[in-house]
Amino acid sequence: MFAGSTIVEALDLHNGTLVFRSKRDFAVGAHTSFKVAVPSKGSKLTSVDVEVASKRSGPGGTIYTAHVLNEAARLDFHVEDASLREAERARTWIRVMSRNLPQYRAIAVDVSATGAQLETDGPVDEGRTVDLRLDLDNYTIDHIACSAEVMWCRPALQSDRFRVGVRFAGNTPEVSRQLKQLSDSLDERAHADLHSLLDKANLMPPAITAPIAVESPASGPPENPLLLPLRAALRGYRRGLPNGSLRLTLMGDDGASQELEFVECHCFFDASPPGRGRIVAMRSSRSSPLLTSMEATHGHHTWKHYQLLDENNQSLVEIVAVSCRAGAL
Amino acid sequence: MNALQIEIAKSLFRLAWADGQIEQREVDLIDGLLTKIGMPLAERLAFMDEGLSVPYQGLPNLDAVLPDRESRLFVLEQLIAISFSGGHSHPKEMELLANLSTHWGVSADELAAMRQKERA
Repeated sequence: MFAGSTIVEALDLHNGTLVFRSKRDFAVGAHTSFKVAVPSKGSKLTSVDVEVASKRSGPGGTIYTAHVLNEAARLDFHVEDASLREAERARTWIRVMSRNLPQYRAIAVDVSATGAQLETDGPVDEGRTVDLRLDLDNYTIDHIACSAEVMWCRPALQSDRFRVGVRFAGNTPEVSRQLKQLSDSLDERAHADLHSLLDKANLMPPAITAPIAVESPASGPPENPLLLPLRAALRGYRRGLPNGSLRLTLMGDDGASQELEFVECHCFFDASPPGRGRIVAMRSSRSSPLLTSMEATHGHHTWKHYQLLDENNQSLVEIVAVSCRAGAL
Repeated sequence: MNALQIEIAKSLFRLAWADGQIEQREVDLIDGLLTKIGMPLAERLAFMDEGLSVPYQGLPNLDAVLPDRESRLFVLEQLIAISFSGGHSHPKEMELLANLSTHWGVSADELAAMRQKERA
């Protein structure tokens, strides 16, 4: 039986599936009819016949998904509704691994303290609990392992992938704190200007809270002229805890990747152009203009100034750390 | 990095530092030798960084990791190559080589043959 005069709040309509919100109670499996305001039609009211497929409680009413049974199924729209989010979400790109997801992987494109939007290789059942591992390169911790409940799933626009909304659930207070911290950090990145972010990324070890005033790498080479032959390509780097180390991934001439760890890294500057990170030598010294500048601010330390050089003896990477050692990949 | 690689690396630095300084040609040679004995890139860099920072004064425990004569002759050959890499050997380096040769029972003829091989 259709209730033709009812008006509901339509949130999303794609591929004939409508997501709507209402304070009225509709039973799953029930056929009903109502009017929705379609944004692409100047919010003109359109009649929609549906079969209710699922329901869950949400802010401002119950959230339903339904199969559209009339010609309105051809419509396609999405309404941004901030109230559906319990916390502001930050746009991001985080690799997610999970045995519960298609191909065991996803990309988190949207993260808040309470949930995330994932892009997956296939559909995921709504209501399912999934264990996620968020891999966090260049963050204060390597990863966050958490549980979440799948709230919705729909095909992604202009791709053959899927978008999946999850709500973090069943996590320990510590994990919840980590998720909140991650969300805050992503939000800060989203709103900070690029220069301050780069400054932070380059200069801030986890253990230091005040910015370090350093001169540019062009301030002069270390006094020790000895070069350690290297012959490798720089493949990436990441922060390591708990010692605040920086880990460079190098690929040697034999094609094998190895990790070189700089312990208690206090300064990092990467000037290598993308795709041209060919390093031929490493130079290190306990005395350089850069170290002098840093020690003027922070007092005497047992730091060393490392430089990774290209074939023209130009410095591609500058690092100030206590020491370096082989890391474990 | 195994014990053999570590002790060989230590002996290379001990010899290189014998005259109180270390030069780029010695660094290049040590790098080549450590590569030759199979020390991985990251470990090589870390070990060399440490070895170049402070003059290495310790005595490498070569006897423990080089039980046979053949391996000892191989290492001695590498040490001679480093010592003569600049065309001549420093007296301190010669002293260290002589002591090691005597300790391992390497004859003067064998040393001469190694020197000849290094020159070639």
